[in-house]
Amino acid sequence: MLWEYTATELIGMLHRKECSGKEIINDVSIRANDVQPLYNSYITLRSAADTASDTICKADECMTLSGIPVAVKDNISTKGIRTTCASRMLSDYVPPYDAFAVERLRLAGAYIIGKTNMDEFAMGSASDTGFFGAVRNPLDMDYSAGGSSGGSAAAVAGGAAVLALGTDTGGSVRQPASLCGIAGFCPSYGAVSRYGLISFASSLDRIGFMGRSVSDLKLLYNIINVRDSQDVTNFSKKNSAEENADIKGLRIGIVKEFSAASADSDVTAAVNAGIKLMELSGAVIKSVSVPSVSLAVKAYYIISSAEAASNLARYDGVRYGHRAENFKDLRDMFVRSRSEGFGEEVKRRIMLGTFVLSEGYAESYYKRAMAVRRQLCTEFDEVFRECDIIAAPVYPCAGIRLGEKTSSVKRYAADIFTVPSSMAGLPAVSVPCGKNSKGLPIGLQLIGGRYHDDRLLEAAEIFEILRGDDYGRA
Amino acid sequence: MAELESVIGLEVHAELSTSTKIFCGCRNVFGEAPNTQVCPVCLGLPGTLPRLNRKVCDYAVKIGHALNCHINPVSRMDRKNYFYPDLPKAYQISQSDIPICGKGSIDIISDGKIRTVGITRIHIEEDAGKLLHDDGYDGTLCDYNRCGVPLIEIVTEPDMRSSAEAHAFLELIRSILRYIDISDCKMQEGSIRCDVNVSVHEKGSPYGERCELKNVNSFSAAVRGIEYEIKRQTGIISSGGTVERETRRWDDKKGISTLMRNKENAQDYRFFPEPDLGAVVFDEEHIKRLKEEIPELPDRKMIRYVKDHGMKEAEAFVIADSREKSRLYDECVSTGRCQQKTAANFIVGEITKYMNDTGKSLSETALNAEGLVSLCVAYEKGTVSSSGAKKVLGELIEHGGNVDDIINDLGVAQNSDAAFIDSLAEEVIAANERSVKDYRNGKKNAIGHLVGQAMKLSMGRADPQMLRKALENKLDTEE
Amino acid sequence: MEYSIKKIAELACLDIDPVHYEEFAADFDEIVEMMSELPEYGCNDHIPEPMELRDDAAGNTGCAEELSKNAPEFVNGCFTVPRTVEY
Repeated sequence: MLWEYTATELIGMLHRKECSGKEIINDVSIRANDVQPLYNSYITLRSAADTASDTICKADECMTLSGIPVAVKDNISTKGIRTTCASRMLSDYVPPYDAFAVERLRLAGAYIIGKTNMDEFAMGSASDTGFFGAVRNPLDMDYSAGGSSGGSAAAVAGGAAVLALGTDTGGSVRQPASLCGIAGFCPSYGAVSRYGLISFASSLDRIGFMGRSVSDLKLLYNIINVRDSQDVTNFSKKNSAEENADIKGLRIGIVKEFSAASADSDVTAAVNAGIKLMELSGAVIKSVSVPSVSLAVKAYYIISSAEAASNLARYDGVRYGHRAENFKDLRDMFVRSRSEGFGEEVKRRIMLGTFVLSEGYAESYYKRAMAVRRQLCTEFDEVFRECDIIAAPVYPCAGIRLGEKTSSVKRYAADIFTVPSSMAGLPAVSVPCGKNSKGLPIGLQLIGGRYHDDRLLEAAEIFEILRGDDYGRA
Repeated sequence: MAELESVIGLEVHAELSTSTKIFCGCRNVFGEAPNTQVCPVCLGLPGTLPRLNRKVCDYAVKIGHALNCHINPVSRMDRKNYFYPDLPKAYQISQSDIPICGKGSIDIISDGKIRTVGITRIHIEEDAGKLLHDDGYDGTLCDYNRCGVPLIEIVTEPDMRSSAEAHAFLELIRSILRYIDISDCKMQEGSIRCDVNVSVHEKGSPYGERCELKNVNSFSAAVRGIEYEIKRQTGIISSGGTVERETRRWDDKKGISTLMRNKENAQDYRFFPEPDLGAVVFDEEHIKRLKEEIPELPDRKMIRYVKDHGMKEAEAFVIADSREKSRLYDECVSTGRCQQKTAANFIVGEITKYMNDTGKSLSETALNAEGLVSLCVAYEKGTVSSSGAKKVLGELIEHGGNVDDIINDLGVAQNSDAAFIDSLAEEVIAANERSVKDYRNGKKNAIGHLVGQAMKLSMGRADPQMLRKALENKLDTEE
Repeated sequence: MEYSIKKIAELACLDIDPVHYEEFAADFDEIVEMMSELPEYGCNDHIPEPMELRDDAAGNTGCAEELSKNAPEFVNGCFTVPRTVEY
């Protein structure tokens, strides 16, 4: 079936006229609608019947993504299509403009098949904190698809989309990609415009890409990585020179502090096997130290929550979003609208963020966390002088059982492998590298130097070839 | 008890006259229909991002130069968080730790004394929207047109000691903002507003706890607010009490201040660096270039006019306050052909009156320095009387032209021919026996009547000074 | 811990459901403890990367009608809130 192929394969088939764009869109749409009740990967999904409409006319034009159905995470603004952030707060919100990334997709001829489910405002790691229910892992429906971009990951893994946009603040693209057995890429902070991405933590938020192969990630990245003046934190600085990553002599750093963090044995085994594979092919493995990694999770939750508390303060029920029905006065309207509109996890983060910025506490929480972040960046800079990429696990375990009760602190601590590169703005990719005994996929994380996105993708692609197996199919 | 002294510091907010808002391309205009000058960015729609207007930064550097401030080559934007329906993002993008301008100072003249007022800082920020009330609707309406209008905030040190000094400072700031052309300073449009900090202490002991007055919407309200607050705090101290640190709302209609917030429930704004924006960076060259664009400013001019030209403060301010008037004055004086006082009198008097009456600026009139100097010369020589000069000036303003020609055309030349004056005096003495008698009997005032009669005879062209002298001569000698 | 959850909630404009308050507070305290005791790496002011500034040129102003579509209530061209006293 057409929904089983990668975007790169489909584009080749389109060129050779082995299929038409309409056929692809039709096939994937039917699949998406069929599996929606199972995976719940979409919040808004275009109906299969819709595919006959005139918007599909572009499908057979020869643009890069003509005829390719792309799913977009529901915290990325789409003009005229409701964008909910999986929150009751925005359940009826329809943006009057397109995010820059979406604009680029449309210009490339992509078919936006739907808006994917996620953790509310991207806060979570199992896509189970949203207003629209949890996303199930297509590989084992007792398990979560991961989060917060679980819907995007499940859609790609389950054949309900060919490509997807996700967002990654502390691992939200890499972790669900790892748990769903697909490839996920979080580019350097600043490489992709955030305009239209509904902010969770501005200094950490990034739009990332998900697909069934690394070449699919490159395809998306090249379309969207264009300078956008609307986002002044967007630099699009490319280190284009010498970005080919020959596996022979490629210096791969293994961070001691990551090795010390407790990952499940099946995860460690799969990741180590992947690293060994590269070593056997000529890569040089180096042990490196990034001492502040041990502080990264603390600092991350302080900074991300602080920014979230401020970013989410605008939801007051005045200009858009949920407004409570009964209230005594202005203040009461604000409090009720916000308390009804936000879920438990979002409220927790807003409370944490408000606390770490409040008078008397900002010095010992927020300011110290900012200093830790600067220190972490310096340490990574050092490390990238002696190695080209870093290899690490993505997540300490291969699967998250849906409905499992875990304390917040434990859930947050599990972000240890993804959060450090988030804090330093480094590009990182997750590529499937093995499966555990239950058949749940495990991802290998490769982290590159800031703006060395191209080299990182090259390295990831080499690994994918070395690995050989086809992990991208449900 | 030792003598009490009051200490005043000010925070002045002025809207900048850029063409667009601070973070988006919406027009920076006043008085449009509600919510017509808004876009996704200034409405704070989810996913939108701010982009800082270069002109806002340049304007801040210029006012920094004008107030002799240190300019920070690198500064940072911060978020000030609070919930209010006029603030769409529930935070105001402002500057907290590293503003564009650091310390500076400016000299004011008040009551004949020069006082140096320290500037603590100047930063840029965005304005909030407006809340409206409408009889037909029982809630509050939000108009966001003003959201994102660029503001500068000038914070002073607690260096003023009276409401008069505060007033002089405010007048001077407004004048400077207009000079360097970065703000319209239209009070009625709310484009310049201030918060006032007042404390009272015994002379010789440390400053007292200060109270901040909010909602001060005019300079005269600032004066009234300060005076009220000084009286209130003096009352507390005199009766043995202590003033608490408070934020108070000034009600100008009622002429009282009421408690808004005390120390316990002070606002916690949770400032932190704005992650959606980068650092504001100026290179030294650019900072210098902006400095070169600053003309001599009213504070310097005021001091020059008072100290060097012997003007009174009020006159000096009328001229110094306006860039056009002071330019005209300085040009006239620089010719060296007329006296400073003559030029100053015409500008402070007739010219200012004309500008106020018509609302016109000098550039909208035909008057230039050459014309005014020629008029001053003619007046000083006695070629034209003061009433004649007013007519000539009117003509110069309306149509311009050569002063001598205008004097002739209007027939206002003053006759100072001695023979003519003499004959007039004789004629009047002959025709006014009664006044002559009064004068000679010691009622010296009677001379006024005689001068008046003679002027009438001359159709106003005789030089009244000469006439008076001629009359006195004749009356005193020909007894 | 000396902080007050009630005060934080007030600042954040949120209501903590009284039914689950204990549970929330326990979890919150645990997280705060986790975030505590970061070392001090000097207290330099954070300076972000330099940014490009925008020219003072007019862009698109969205029409009120479109921008108001998401508003819970829109009266006489204005967004609405319960009656406030101007501060």
